Amino acid sequence: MLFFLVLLFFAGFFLGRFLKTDWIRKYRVLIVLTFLLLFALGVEIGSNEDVVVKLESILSSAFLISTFAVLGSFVFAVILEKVLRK
Amino acid sequence: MMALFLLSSVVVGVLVGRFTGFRLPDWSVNVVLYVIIFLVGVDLSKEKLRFDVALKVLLTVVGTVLGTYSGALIFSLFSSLKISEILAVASGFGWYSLSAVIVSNVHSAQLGAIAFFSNVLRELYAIVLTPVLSKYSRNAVVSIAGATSMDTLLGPISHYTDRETSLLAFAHGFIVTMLVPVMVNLFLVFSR
Repeated sequence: MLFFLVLLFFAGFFLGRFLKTDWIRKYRVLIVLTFLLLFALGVEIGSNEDVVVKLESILSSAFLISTFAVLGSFVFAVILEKVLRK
Repeated sequence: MMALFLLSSVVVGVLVGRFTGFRLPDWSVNVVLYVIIFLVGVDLSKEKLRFDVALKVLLTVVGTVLGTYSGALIFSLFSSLKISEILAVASGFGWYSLSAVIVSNVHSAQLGAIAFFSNVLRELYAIVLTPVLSKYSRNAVVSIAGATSMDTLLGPISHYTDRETSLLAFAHGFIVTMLVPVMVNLFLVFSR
């Protein structure tokens, strides 16, 4: 799956040079597709009994992982910035 | 604001999946994802990449990756999840659509849901914190945004910082975005 995704990305990246691309931003194609993707993902989550039962613990893990990831990124970015200035 | 709309489309999907018999074919999530990835590539092909800020970009990426993983490692000290599972979730760097789909395909729907919500929250954090932190540290604003510093957060970042930081944000987001599928898969290999 990974290989296929990277391949698709680069196919787009190289083909895009020869195509008109303004319609992607003009009609907000990516946002509309993201809505579709998230809805489909939601249906998958909602119809999975396992996930629904554990939703509370899923949400709390998700909250904690993102909080720690954001805090870590903040600390490292500030340290790097201080080091670079010297 | 956009993040809230996006979040609500998941919630609607969850409710529909839970309380109605409505089902989408198994391939639908993947097909939409493929189209998105392809179009992101097409969209980016028109950007001119600049290499003069390369060193600063690389250092910022290193800060984002190390910072995210050390935060995740601290969390792993008091979580029942495996370290590799937590690192795989954190490797989404805010790109919730891709990381959630990969994690639920390769691992489990449950960890996929954690990946989804955790990375949506990272984007929400970035949206809320960008105006607050931009005066204190511009690097931090970019690092917190993770992969989204290239798309969703590029607008807010360029609004609250300067041109140089916007360029940094774009290049940083570009590299981190490329890292997402690689790192998520890598950590999932260890959590089987």
